[in-house]
Amino acid sequence: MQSTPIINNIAAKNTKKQSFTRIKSMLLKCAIIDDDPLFTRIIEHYLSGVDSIDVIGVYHNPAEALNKINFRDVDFLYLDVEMPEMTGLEFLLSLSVIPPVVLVSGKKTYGVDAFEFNAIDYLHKPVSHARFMKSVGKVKTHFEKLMIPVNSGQKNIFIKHDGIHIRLSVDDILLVRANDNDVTIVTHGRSYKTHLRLKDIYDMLPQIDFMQVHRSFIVQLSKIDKVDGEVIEINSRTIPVSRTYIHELYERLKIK
Amino acid sequence: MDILELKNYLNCDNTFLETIIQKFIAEVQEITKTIETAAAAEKWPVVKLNAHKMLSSVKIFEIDELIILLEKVEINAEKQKNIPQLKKDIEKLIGLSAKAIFDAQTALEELNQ
Repeated sequence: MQSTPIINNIAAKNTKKQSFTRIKSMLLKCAIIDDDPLFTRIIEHYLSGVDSIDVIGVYHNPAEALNKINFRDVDFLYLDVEMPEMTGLEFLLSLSVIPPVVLVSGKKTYGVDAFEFNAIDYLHKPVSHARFMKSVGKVKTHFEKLMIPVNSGQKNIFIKHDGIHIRLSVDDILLVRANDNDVTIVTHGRSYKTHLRLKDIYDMLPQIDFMQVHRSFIVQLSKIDKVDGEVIEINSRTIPVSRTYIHELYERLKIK
Repeated sequence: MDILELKNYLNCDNTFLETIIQKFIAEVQEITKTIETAAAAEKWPVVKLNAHKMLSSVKIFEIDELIILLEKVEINAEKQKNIPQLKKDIEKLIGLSAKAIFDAQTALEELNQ
């Protein structure tokens, strides 16, 4: 199993950003996919002592998991890397949206892949109860972070524009667009170019109100005028939505 | 096989430990048979796959000699190199598996005493 092609392929995908609604109660739902029944039995046993995680399915074959799992009902996966017919990494790449995942393997060589897939944790088999519980802690932290709306209540941000720091009202921001060498913040009245990265600006904004919809676009959700499939419109501007973000966007806009 | 150590490792009671040991015995018996049949038919990808699967279980029980041999069989079956040596290793593997099953059965008896 070579890791490089997979790493290249994943550049086109992003890991799933959990909806704020599903994990409100912090009862997480997981599925276990591993061809070793002894190992899955042990993981089930470990999880039986964890109140906040429910196992909704155990699959010994990735193809079966693909057919049976409703990914809208699953918060994360325990996924074996080395399985016959389809590896865990190939399994992830076959999904339109990659869910949060704890990768499991008998080999230590998949650390880079775990990083590339933004895995919550990487467990090396065999896994002791103590190590597994540490991993449960990481899973909880991962989802707790998603539950806290970052920068909630933030009213203004400062950006450097034409050499000076100016204050922008968050409410005025329609969208943020990444260009080749800079980033443009579009407000109702005008646009501002800044040399911050798109991610830096996203980190400054209240994430409950804003969402990244494309690798080059962040939008303020309340400013969206139209949604047409994978395209949205804000103030007569057309913005593409990546496949990676479309489910989350529809969920956050409560579009059925 | 140190039962107490395994119990601590898995943080479980005797009932669960018994389940795991029984599963281990069943799995090793089945996989060994599959490897033996596949090796006779020179189906090396099947040998590789099953050696990998068994490795995962054997590691839980820390049977070092079997772990080393299974790793070797997995690699050589994948590369399909030095087939005579691979066949010898598989024969050895069958013997060690039988010993592992015997030890596991002994551990089960100890657990039930």
